[in-house]
Amino acid sequence: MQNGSNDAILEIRNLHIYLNAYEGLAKIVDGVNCTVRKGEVVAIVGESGCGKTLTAKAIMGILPPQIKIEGSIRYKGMDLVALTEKERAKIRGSEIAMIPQDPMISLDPLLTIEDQLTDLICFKDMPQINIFSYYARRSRVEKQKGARDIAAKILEEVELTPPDRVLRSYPFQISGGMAQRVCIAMALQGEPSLLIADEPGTNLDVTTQKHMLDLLIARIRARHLTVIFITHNLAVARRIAQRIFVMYAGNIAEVSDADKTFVDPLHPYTQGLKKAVPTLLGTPMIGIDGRVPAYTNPPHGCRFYPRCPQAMEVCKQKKPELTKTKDGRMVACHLYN
Amino acid sequence: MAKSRLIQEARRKGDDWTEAMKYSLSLYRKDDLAVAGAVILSCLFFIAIFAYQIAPYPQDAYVSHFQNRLLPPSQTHLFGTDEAGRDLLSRVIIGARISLPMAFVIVLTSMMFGMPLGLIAGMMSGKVESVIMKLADIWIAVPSLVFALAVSAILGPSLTNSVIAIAFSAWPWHARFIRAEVWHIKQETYMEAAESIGASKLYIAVKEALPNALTPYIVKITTDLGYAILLLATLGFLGLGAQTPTPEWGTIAGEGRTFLPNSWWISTMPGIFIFLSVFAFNVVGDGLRNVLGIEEI
Amino acid sequence: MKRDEALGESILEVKSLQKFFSVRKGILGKSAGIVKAVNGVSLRAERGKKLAIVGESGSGKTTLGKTIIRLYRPTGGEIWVDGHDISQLEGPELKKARMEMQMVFQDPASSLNPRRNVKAIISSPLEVHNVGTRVDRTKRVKELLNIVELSEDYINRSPGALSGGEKQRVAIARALALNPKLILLDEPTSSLDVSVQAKILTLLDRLQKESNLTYVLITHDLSVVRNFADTVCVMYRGRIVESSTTQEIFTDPLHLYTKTLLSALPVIYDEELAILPKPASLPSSNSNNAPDSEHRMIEAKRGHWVEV
Repeated sequence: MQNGSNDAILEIRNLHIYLNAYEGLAKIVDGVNCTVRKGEVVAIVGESGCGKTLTAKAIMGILPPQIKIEGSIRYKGMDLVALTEKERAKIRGSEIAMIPQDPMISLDPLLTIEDQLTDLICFKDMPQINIFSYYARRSRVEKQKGARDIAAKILEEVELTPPDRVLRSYPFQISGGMAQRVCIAMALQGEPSLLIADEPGTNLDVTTQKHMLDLLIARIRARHLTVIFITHNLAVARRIAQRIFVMYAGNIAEVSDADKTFVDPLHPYTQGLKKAVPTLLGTPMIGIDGRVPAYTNPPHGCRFYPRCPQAMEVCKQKKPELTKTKDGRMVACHLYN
Repeated sequence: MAKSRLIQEARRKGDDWTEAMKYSLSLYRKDDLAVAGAVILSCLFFIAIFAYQIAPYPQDAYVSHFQNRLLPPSQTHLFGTDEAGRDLLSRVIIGARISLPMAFVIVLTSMMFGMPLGLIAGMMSGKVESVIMKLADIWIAVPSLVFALAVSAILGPSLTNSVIAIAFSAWPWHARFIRAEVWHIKQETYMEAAESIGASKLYIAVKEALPNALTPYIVKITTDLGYAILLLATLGFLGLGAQTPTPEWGTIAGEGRTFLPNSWWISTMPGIFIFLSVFAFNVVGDGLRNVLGIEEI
Repeated sequence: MKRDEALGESILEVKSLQKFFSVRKGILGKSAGIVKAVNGVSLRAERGKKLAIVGESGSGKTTLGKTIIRLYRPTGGEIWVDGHDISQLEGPELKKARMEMQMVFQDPASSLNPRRNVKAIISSPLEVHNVGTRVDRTKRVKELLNIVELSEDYINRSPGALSGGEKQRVAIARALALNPKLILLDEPTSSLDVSVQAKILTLLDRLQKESNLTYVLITHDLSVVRNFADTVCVMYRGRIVESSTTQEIFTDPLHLYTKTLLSALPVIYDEELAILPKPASLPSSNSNNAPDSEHRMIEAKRGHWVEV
């Protein structure tokens, strides 16, 4: 996998995501900086509750109104946070697409796969429509665009052949692996430039997951997509990504090339993860003490401070910034300042 | 999901159950309609408890003063008087002492029969469940009003008999509801866990299933209370429930029927109270539904 | 199928276990077919050791676990727990037998009753079997909380307020309440983060050494198996297709399905790739031999059984 060209397709600067919880303001994502270059495949790795899915949804712009965002998310130079919902909707699906986590709950159980795919194809540019216009437009445009054929071709691309059977089916009639491929197809049909994959395949068997990942990697290469792959599975991240962002409690802890991240982890959290992961080499599994901080009352300094085996006094007072190291990696830790 | 998880974090200290209740209360307070309903209900309960102290002419519940017949609402008689010269306001206030407690009696009786049967049906399944559910189906096939009419015809019209009639017509709904909840609950892993420990069906039913079924059940009961008041009033109105001179709201409204539209206050005033209580119960029930059952706290 | 008895005392021995479900269709509920979820499984778990049953979804491993723990009644075969055949027991005898074996379930969020507190949950086995007075039980609950490394003031907490790891610890405490000899763990760490998983597995390991417990671990995660189990049975479509020690299974997998599973594993370190079977030698799809044809296990190497 070679690196993409050097222009950044996505630049997240100082992203904060807040939420009003019962006991006060929950500052979940607390100043995330992240740059993704065109053609790159990056992975955001973190455990549950670290804010990675929130970040993905913030990029897509599908967070509910009670969740507040600060900071900038620049896509091809445009600040997405500053756009109106209408402008955002134009980008969603056709420029930035998302593969959701659980395909079974992401597909509409009442519509056939064909209906769902053709709707996406026909109504790409009209995210909000009333029922009369819907039916009026659908019969017209469907014929014009040959939507069904496009749908069939997309399904073939995700290796669901012959596509007719799947097209005719309802989501409950297809297996989890097939549903995941349908979701991938739905994301790809808009011809996006940036693809966000939110933990795809976590609910699938190991063999099915492997096929899905093979397929995804092949499609990414064929279409020269830029991909942000979100996962908690370190091995999958290693396999699919060129660069890995390790996220902890709403901050990026470390950014490294995939082959270096776990071989030579910089941040103590990544080191803890490395020790905890079961491998085929028989290394003992050692967990990390403590638990994720309460977002309504997070530590003032580094959020990993309470659990860090190498914590220093400065870590308690001051929050470390994500800084570059000598070999081009980035880490947010006072050990490296 | 992120939100409740954060609340979890925030709730680390102390007794989680009280924290959960506090949280539910704070959510409830945000729902204006539900708060209005709660306020109305509190007023009605207060009126019911202190009826004889509040009512301006408490003796008018039963005593007639024919010289004051059919007086319209005025300063001395805020709701006017009825055809026997009794102060309507006092009668309506005292009527609260009848309708509200009787509504509770009705619902509690239905619960006493419906809940255990539903629980048994849900837990045992198989033939036992079929029999109970078919019985419930047959029972429901007769509309409650017709059932109440039949009971009145057999036992004679009175408040007690109408309460009995309504209470015994309603148990199948409770049984059905609890059985449906238990079906749903049976899929949860903790039920299997209890079975793997060796717990008897009774233990599982009462200690594992029932507490989980109670949350939606409370919502149902609240709405049922409103409906019970309505049904009781309907029977009273038709002359099959509380008999004159008992000041039950429906009975008063029924008495006033012949004097419409001239002496409109006799039927309307108790009607307003019926409306308010049913409305309040329903709205409180809705509010509770939105607020209870928060598990992740 | 005979096994070498000198291999060590077996706490659990399953012989040709079968569990079938009939599929009913139509209004009259006519039987439309039989699902053979567990179709002739034999295995044994040595006292003080960890046996892993590995398989993907649909392999029947969860049904196998639930049948062993007698949540289901076996359609055929025998289950010997500590020298007693429990496969056909019912009533009070079954209840008594349950004290010897307990289960830790997959999803801690739903295996703990959200409307009960930690004390009630952990003491429920004691309550059910009428062990001790209320005071005794509270004491025991505090003991158990200490054993699973939770502080005593967790006693009044609600499951909904606990993290995944804490919930699973409570589930383990519940399983330990009656001092069972055998504990079945159905994917105990699948829903947990990797750092929490490590702690739970460390805890389980320690508990085993302290009380000489026997574990049967049901999972799909081969890397956990590599690091946790002593012996492994690989399950496919209701049958065991290969069984041996962990070391053997990973260094010398014999059955096609085992090799398929191993080659599909995503790994972090390049050194791990060297251990895995080469994917080139396997067919592209993972569909396999005819489901109902005659199968038998042969002992290909000492202690290493494969189905043919």
